[in-house]
Amino acid sequence: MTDSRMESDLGYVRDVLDRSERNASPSSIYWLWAIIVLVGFPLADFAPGFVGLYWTVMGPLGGIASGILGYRFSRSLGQVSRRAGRQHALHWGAMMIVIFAAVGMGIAGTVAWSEIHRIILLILSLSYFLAGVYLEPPMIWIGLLMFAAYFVMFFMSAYAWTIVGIVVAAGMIVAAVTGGSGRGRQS
Amino acid sequence: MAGSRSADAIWDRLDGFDRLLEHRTRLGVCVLLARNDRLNFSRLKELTDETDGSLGAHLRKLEEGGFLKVNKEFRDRKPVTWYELSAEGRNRLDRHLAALVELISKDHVGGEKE
Repeated sequence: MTDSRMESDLGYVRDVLDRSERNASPSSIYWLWAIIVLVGFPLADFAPGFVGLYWTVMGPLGGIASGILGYRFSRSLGQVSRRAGRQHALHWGAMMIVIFAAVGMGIAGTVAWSEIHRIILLILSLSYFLAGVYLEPPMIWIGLLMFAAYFVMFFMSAYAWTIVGIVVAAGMIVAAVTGGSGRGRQS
Repeated sequence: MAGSRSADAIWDRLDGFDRLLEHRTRLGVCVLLARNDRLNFSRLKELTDETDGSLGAHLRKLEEGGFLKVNKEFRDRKPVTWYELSAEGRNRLDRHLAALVELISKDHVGGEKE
């Protein structure tokens, strides 16, 4: 085997590996979270008393549903990886724990309750952005959209969370249509 | 220069080198299976850009060589064949990759000396 052939072979292996890691999430996960966000964010404007309950239930439930959808998708794609599943679970699990910790600060009174929503939006924007960097590229745009929404909220007084919810859900729908994968192939 | 050496002369000196992984498709399949728990035939075909016949032949060689564990199942009445790297296969792949790294670093050092 010559140097050039070895180089070409290793390049081929690297290319194959790169392509295998370029899986988009199933679009169903983006749609699921678009719906959860579209209902959950406006609650802060229309029924603030239900915000905590809604996210305490829908956050973990949405996470579990995403895990199931992701596993079903990977089986239908033909590529099952516990390592990738663990990465997603750690990333989104950590995000939820930090959000609950932020809510805890609001309940304890160490941070003004009126600021907790904004802090959560910042946590969400960073989490989605980093997910875009390390896990699913389309999420970078959702993270940036959330970060922009954080600034916009300083200039809005009425229905701010409803508008932010619509914008974020729209971002997820765009990601579902452009970046998310539909069904995998069978063999 | 390594380019002028015969393949046998190079590989035979390397401890851990596995002849079965000399072909890039088989090496690619094993590396893919080392990074994932399992892949099915159509996904491997898509990623390696091989034809059914060619990929099937490579997978058979790897299976006969003890690298792979094969599982067949039916999904929507269609047969799906799943491949996993065996413990022995993982060991041999690790040793093969270590041998490649050794060869590359030796060549690199040698190249600098020349």
